[in-house]
Amino acid sequence: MAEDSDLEPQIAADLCARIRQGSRDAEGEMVRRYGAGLLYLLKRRTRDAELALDLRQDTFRVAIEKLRGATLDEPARLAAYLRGVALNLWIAQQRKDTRRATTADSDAVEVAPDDRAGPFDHVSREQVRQAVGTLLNELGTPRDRELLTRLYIHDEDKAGICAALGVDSLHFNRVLFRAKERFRQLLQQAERRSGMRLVG
Amino acid sequence: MDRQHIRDAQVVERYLSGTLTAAEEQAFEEAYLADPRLLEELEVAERLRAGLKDSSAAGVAASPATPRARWRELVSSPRYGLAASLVAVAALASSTVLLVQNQSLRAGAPLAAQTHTRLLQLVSVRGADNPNEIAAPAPGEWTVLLVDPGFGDYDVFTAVLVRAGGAELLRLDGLTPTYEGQLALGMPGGLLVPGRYEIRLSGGNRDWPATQKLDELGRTPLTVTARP
Repeated sequence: MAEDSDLEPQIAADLCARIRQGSRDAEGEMVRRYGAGLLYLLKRRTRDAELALDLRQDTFRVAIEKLRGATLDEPARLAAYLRGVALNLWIAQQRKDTRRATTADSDAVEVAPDDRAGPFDHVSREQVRQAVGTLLNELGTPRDRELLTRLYIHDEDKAGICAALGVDSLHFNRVLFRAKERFRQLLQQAERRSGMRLVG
Repeated sequence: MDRQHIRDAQVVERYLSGTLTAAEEQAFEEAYLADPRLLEELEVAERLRAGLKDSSAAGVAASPATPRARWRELVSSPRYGLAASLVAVAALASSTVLLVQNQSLRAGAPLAAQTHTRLLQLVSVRGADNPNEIAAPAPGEWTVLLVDPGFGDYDVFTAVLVRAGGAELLRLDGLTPTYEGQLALGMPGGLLVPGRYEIRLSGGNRDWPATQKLDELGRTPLTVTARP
């Protein structure tokens, strides 16, 4: 069965067509589908969570106004269009231009995107540090620990790490996959201990 | 930008370190905008990176292992795992030989000896033809099949060897991963006569209630051909 991401071009084109036809449900689906990714992208660029939320809201205002009145050149690449709008708004913000780049009415975005930045928002820095400690202790060998250290702390590239540690690409991929998977589980456990809701 | 390329080219890590080209960055951002799983993977990697840097700055990641950690490191190392597996296999083989000898002595038959052990790694490739084909072991040979239990959050496993047609030949309960995180399934070579088999793997956790069924994890096909 194809993954949802494999169907992205069809889903995107369908959303564009339905929004053009006036479907408010489709507008909501678009906001839910791309909201989390847009917020992550904007937080990464702006380093300002509040500003990122504002820019995301404006991105959807611009996009919905556009999609209600016209079709995109490449509706299958709706994600690319949204990214472009978001980054243009960010550039405009940096230039001290107004962030109100649209005259859309205030109810243009009827579906409020989830304001959470990600699934591990409630995991504290100390919990992340503890999870890292657990992960490092559970790794099979000092070599595997060094692999993670070189990759994430020293930003060395894969080829250099493989050569330095005498491991092949498959072993590298396997260690990294297992480490990230285990770390994700540890973060989920920490999130549950925080008594907060988990998504996904 | 597909998953295979993202994994092979370390796109997530290079994105976090800001070393993607502009074109790669654009393609990756468009990909994760529409893919919640990829976005979560990115967020996990970002926190792992931040946590490692944080721990490194605090001297945790670089500090020498504690005595307990060293003990765990030794016990959980692949070398220890392999050695322990081989010792266990050798012990099992010796016990089997003694049992056979004992039975032979009682029956007045000449002594049998199981002098060879073969380790065979099986792979499980979804959607691929059966990639596991081995020549039949000698009847006196001990065979250990290594099976990858996958990445689920399980700590105990059961493996069942089934011959094509459904006959259950061997059931091994209480298995735990050993060498390289794999399960070692030891069996007399004489069990694996030419034919088609399947290894059915299920997993669970030690703290599960006794009445809870294990989760089915997958089936690994195995074909045994005649010995040359």
